[in-house]
Amino acid sequence: MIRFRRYRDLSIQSKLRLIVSGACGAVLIVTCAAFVVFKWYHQREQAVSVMSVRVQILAANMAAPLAFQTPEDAMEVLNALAVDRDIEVAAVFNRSGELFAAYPERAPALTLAARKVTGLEHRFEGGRLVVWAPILQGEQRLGTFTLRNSLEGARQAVRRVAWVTAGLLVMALGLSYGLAAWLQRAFTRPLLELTQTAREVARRHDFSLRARRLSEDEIGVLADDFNTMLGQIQHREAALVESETRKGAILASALDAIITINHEGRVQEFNPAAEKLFGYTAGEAVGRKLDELIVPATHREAHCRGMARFLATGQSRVLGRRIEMPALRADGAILEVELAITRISNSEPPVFTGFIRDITERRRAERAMHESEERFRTLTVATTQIVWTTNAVGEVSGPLPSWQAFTGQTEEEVRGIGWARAVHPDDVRATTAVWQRAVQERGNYDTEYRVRRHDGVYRHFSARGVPVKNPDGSIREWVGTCTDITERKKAELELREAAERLTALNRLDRIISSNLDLAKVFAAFARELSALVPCDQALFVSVDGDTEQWKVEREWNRAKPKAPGLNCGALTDTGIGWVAEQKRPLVEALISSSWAEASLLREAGFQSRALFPLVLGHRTVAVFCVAGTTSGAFDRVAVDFMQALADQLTVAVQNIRLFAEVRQHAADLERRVEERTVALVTANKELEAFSYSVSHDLRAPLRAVAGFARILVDEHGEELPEDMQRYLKLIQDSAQRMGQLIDDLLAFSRLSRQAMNRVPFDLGRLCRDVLKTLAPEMAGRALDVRVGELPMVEGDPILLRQVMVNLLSNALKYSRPRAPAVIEVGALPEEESGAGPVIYVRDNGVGFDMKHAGKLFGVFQRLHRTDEFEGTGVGLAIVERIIHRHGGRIWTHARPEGGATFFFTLGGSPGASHHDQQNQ
Amino acid sequence: MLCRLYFACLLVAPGLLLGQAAVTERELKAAYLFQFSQFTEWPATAFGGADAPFVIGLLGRSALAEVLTELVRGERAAGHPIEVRQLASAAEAVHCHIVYIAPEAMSAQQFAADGRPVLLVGESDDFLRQGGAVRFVRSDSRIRLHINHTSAQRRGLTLSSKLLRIAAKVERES
Repeated sequence: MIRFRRYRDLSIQSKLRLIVSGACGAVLIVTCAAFVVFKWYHQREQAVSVMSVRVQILAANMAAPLAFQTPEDAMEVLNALAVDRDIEVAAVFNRSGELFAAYPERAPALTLAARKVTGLEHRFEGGRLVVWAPILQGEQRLGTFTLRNSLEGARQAVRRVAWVTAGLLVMALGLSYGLAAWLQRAFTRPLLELTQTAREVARRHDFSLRARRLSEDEIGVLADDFNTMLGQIQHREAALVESETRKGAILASALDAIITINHEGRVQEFNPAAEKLFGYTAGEAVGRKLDELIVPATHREAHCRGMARFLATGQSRVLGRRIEMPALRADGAILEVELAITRISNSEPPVFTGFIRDITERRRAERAMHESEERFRTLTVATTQIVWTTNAVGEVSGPLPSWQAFTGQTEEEVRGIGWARAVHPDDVRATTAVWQRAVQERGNYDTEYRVRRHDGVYRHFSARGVPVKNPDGSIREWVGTCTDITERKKAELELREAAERLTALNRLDRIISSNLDLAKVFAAFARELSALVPCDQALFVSVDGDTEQWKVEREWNRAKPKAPGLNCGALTDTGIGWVAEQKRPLVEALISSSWAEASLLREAGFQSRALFPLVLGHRTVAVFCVAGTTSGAFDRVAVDFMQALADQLTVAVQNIRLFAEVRQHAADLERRVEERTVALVTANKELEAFSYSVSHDLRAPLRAVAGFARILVDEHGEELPEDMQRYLKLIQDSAQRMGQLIDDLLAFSRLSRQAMNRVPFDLGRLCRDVLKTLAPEMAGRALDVRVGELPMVEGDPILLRQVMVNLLSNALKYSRPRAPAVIEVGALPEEESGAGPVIYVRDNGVGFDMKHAGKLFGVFQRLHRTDEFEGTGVGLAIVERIIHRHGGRIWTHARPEGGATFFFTLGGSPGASHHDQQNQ
Repeated sequence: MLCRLYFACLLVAPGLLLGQAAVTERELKAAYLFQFSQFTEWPATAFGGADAPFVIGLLGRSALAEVLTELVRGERAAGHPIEVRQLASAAEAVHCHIVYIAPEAMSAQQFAADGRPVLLVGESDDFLRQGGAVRFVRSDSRIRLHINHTSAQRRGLTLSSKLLRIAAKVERES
């Protein structure tokens, strides 16, 4: 386990054990290693010295065998080497370096090279020792002796030593570890004890605990110091508790609200005075953010910013200063408070204590005083107002500087009621009456009058005054002001006039939209115009661009003009012509006008005029002329208003013209429809009469042909030759078919005369009834008739039965070649609004080519031969006519040999038949 | 493989090798005579001076002279240059240090009286008994040495123990 923990984190016990045994181990290991290495070198040295001696002896012994060429003698000596197993190879070389003798006898002696050596030499080759020695006899060198030792013996010895050393090492390590474990206890036990005590103190917060002293060394001293420290802490703790209690008492009894917040702005303390001031209990307030609690929304941002700044920079604008600010009570009321904030000495994070005093009342009083002063100052200093005072009986007794300055009166002139001489003569009586009444009744004075300014211009004034009373209730004096309200009056007047104009325009609008008579409209315009603009004449002058003529159409005069004015004339050189051409209004003084018609107006007594073009579709159709008998009668406001009137007049003229045109068109159309209708009714009647008579007149001869043919067959049939009989049969058949044709034709022509009775009924039921009547035609055929959900429809049931009979019998007829024949009847959702649902009848019969679809609904039109499919070619014509009479439409979709589908609707709108276009 | 190489070497230079089979008896005997000069110590009195030659004398008919002369050229014995002399009579052997007496030439007894430090080498059967020091004995195509140590000692010669060790037979008279 210890291996996986970092050394630093190990317990002191483990550390000590590790240190001791580690140090011992390291020393032992190095020593043993050195010993083994030394042993190895020693062994080698020893081997070298032993071998050197041996080689020298052997070399000496080799001299004679070499000299006398007796290798067996050499061998004898060499074989003695067998005693030493480490000697692998030995060899004797003669002077020429040739092998003389080797050991072992047949050995790889040649692996040793001959070397010429002068003395004893050795060398280590591949872990083996090779020794050379010269073989000498006297001065004569006879050869070389060489020997190789495997050093196995040395190695074995070293190995043995190594094992023994390792064993000793292990034992020594074990011993040192045990010894360390035993010795460290004396050191760690007091330390552990101390640690345990510290841990207990931290856990239980019990500073009365003490550590035991177990030794007299440094740890013993440490334990003593620790105990001393605990004692101090215990003492401090007690002092702290007492201080807290004292602080609590101070907080509780303080008159000022005291609130402590932490660096997050959260309330930590909230004393009873704060509870009383802000209306929160301490329980509610503690832990909440101060800015949400008592800082009004308007100051919240500044508060947070200041707090953030202090936390970031340590600078504050409020710390340690008295500041005044609004504060919020729990009930939402705003208080004025005086606030001093201190930071509790260097605590980190910082904690702030605020001392707050309610100064709402004080501030209110101050403000009231300030406002009062301000009001008075404003009153006296005001330049646009005239301030006046009189004595108790309402007489001016002192100077009125502002009044005098405005009116130019002297102090003397003002005295008494002299001031009233500056009031407009028309207002003097009313003004003095109001003033005298106010003085008598000791009530407020409030009136309006005009005052003559020093330059003679009258200005509107509003005058007000109040009595100033003594404490006993008697009047001491009167004070009051006069205010120039001329501009206000003017503005009011303008506003009223603008409103009147708007109302007038509105009234005219109504007249235009409800009246199409130019005379009445113009009269209304003149009426409104004369009420609001100082004009004396208004003209509606029509302009004809083709003939270059103008003509007065309508005229209004305030009074009978002095001389006859305008009537009609050419446009050339006239103001009317210019306005018509430029399509711009013209306002001028007639006295300086050079237009052709100006002189006439001047003679009639007019001095100014204004002209406005009435433009319809890029053409000036008329000019609206207004004239006045005073110069400069038309100011900008009047011109704007008249322009608006002219625009409205244009609309009126346009309406009148359009209405006339529409009325003309309508009359034309009505007339033409009437004419057409008469022609159609006549043609229809004639056609009906014709078809009816044709049918009847055709039937008589046909009946004769058929009758006589039958008589011939009945009476002489058997006498006649066979081919004759056949001809007669043909005559009969043809007559019968013609009769059928005539019947159908009659039925068809009857359709247009027949009255239609439109009622709602169930188309599905009708369809099933029809299928029942068609049962004979269906008998014996493989048929699959599917009738889908069909809606309630509105139409003539008798006529629509005919439609269903014709369509279904057609389907049955043309699907005859099919087995099974499939016939479907169904409804599709409404195709377009108002058209009603689409009903369809589908078969899988022979179908037809869509290019013949146009012929399909024509009378007597057939797409198949009679001998293929019988029929007269009237059925679908009848169907189409019925559908059209219902206001619906019918169309088909088919393919040769691919079946046919007939669609129809019974929509309400008459004449909605477009099948022709559809089918082409 | 090794054997083949070995024989190949012999064929290439038979004359230079001292291999047993290839070396002639003559050459072997010459070599032995030379080696005796190496393994024997003569008393200092045996030499006339420092530069006096070491003389190997050959008595009787033998072809050794030529071979031996060739062999000892440039060699020294106990610091003296070696000289080979073909001797006509025993009298001529006065200045010799080693005298080889061919089997037919004479007996060793003819040298016996003077007692000079001369190593007598011979071949006859009773050469050692007649006072010779070293006898070449033929045995299995090889030459072995029989030595009469006493005879050599009597003449003031010291034979090397190495020499004695390789000798086939060493006689010592008490």
